[in-house]
Amino acid sequence: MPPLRRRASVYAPVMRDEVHFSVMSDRRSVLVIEDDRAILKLLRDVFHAEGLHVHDAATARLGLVEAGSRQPDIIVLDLGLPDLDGKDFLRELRGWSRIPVLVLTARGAEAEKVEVLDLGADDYLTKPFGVPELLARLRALLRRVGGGSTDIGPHFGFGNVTVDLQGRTVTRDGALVHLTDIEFRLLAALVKAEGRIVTQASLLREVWGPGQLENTHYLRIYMGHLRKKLEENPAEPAFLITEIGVGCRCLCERQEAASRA
Amino acid sequence: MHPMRTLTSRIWKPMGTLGLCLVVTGVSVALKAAFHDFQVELLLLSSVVVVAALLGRTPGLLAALLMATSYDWFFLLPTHSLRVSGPHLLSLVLLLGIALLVGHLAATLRREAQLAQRGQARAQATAALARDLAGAMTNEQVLSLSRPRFEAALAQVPSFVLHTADPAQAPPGAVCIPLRAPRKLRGFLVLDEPLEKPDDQALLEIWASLLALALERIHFVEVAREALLRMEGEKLRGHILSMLSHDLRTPLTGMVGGAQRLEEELRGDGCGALADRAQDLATEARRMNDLVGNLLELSRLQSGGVQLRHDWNSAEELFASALRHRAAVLEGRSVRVEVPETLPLLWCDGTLVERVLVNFLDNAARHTPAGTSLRLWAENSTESVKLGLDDQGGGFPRDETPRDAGRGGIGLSLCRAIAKAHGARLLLETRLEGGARVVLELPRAKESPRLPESEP
Repeated sequence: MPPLRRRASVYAPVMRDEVHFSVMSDRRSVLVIEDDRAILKLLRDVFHAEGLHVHDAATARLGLVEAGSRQPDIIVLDLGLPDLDGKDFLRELRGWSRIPVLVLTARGAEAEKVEVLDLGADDYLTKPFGVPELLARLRALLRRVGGGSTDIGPHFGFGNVTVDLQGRTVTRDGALVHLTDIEFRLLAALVKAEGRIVTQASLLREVWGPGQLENTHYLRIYMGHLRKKLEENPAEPAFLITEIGVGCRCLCERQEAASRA
Repeated sequence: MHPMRTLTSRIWKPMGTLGLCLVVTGVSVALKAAFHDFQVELLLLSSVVVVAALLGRTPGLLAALLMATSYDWFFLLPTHSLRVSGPHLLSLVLLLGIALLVGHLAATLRREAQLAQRGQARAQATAALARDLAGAMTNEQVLSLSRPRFEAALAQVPSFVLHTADPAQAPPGAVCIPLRAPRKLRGFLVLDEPLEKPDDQALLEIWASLLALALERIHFVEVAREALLRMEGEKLRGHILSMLSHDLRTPLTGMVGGAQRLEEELRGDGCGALADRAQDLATEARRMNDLVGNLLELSRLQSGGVQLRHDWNSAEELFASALRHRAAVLEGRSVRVEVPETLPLLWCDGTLVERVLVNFLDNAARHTPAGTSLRLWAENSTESVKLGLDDQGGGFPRDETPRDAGRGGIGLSLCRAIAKAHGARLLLETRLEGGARVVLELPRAKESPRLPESEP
């Protein structure tokens, strides 16, 4: 089955949108699973302008078929689909694929957000979203798919801070910043996600261990420490963001070896 | 037993005994010549056995005495006299002794047979009652199904009182039998007067426990059904709210995105004024979305049974998150954030408290001139933690409740509902130095969390 699907994605007439693009190998593609025509059109426009190839599906079942046959680089999934629950979609998709999924959801449903993240969604976007937010999330996810060739240990940067995971050093304005062991582990867990949200439970598990899931106050305290040490204005953080009731994210970027040198 | 039946049995038993004895004596006397002595004795003895077996112990005793007397009178010398001479005395005593013994044995046998029969009948009635009660689905059915069983088995039919009634209200002299189930007393059976027979009393107690079990089972079936209904109702409500939420936000998302695209293109084409209109459109659509969000949240909270998702939250993060969500609305108003270092973590539903802060900011943005500054502050005392926002607008109009003054509406109602759910207070005041102050006063967490060990 899988080889057949991959062949289909090469030979099938998938370029009905922009026929003049004859070479598609280096073009990233996105699968939008959304039943509302207006939003679909909006997403299409935005993604085309971003230089992405867009496939779409109006139902979750069609979405699963498309995901299998087109092998997109990223999937944008609306949670309120007519046929399957978005959660069922994720469960099924994650059975055979690691394609990153960006979920579109409604504000005020934090429990649901945590649930879809636990089910393997990579990030979410709250409706109604602005185009800049959408593109920021999308780019962060695509970067993760593309970048992956790291000969040296990865470096990450945000603002005037750089994080060297292998060297276990953090600099701010070029000067070393002293972080405690736990602070560094928390920062590492956040920057490795490269801008994606990391749920509270997975942060606690990764930094403090699986027995510590109830100690959410550790996270509050140590996020406060990190902001004080690394943010320009800790009261209004620009990079170390807490999304109340869901988790935390660090708006950082992976730095290439060349830019580091 | 029935009083009438008791009376007739009191009369007919001795009469029957007497009659049978007379007949047997008459027959023996008439056929005296044809009988041997021992045949007469056997005939008299067997009539005692018959009387004892048919009529019971007392008639048997009576028959034995009568037979001994008539034997003495008609058959022992000297006849027609109660005097007994030497050797015949032995015969008479033997006859009387054997008559008494045989009568007693026959009567005992009869009584035991009767007891066994009654026991079986009661066991059957108990089984039948248990079967009936197993099918009962309501308290009324328990009563109506058991009534005929009581009527058939007992002389008195008890009246039933369920646990809502007070046994002290039963008429004086009445007997209350508690319906005691494993978990709780389920009611009383009330009898106008005590039952005569101890075995009736025992039966009644067994039946009372059967009734109690049936009533308890019905109670728990109802409890379970109600719980199920409530759960289903909550699930349905949650489902409807989330569908509404999705259906209302989808078009708004389209509007926001469309307006943003339009603005971008118009700016690109150099139509600044039209681009501003497009921007307004996006802003209004977002505001509409906030309104929808507040409405849905409010209806969720007001429908009751909402589980708050309590967690540790820091005031800094709540402020930062609220400011991030409202950056667009604040339009460059400068916001000073003041959180004391010593402020404890808050034990609250962070999403909801952030929602309150967002509404504070919305309110301030709507009622203060652009360019004025705001102050978000936190303060702790021994009992509470206050989260507040001061603005430099006109404050709340005097002598008017905030709702009437138009400052508030759905947002304020939502804030109040969230405060109530947390056991918190919402304070609205005009500061002396001018400007409004809105405060959420949260009760302090009962215990502070165990802090992680400090590291180097």
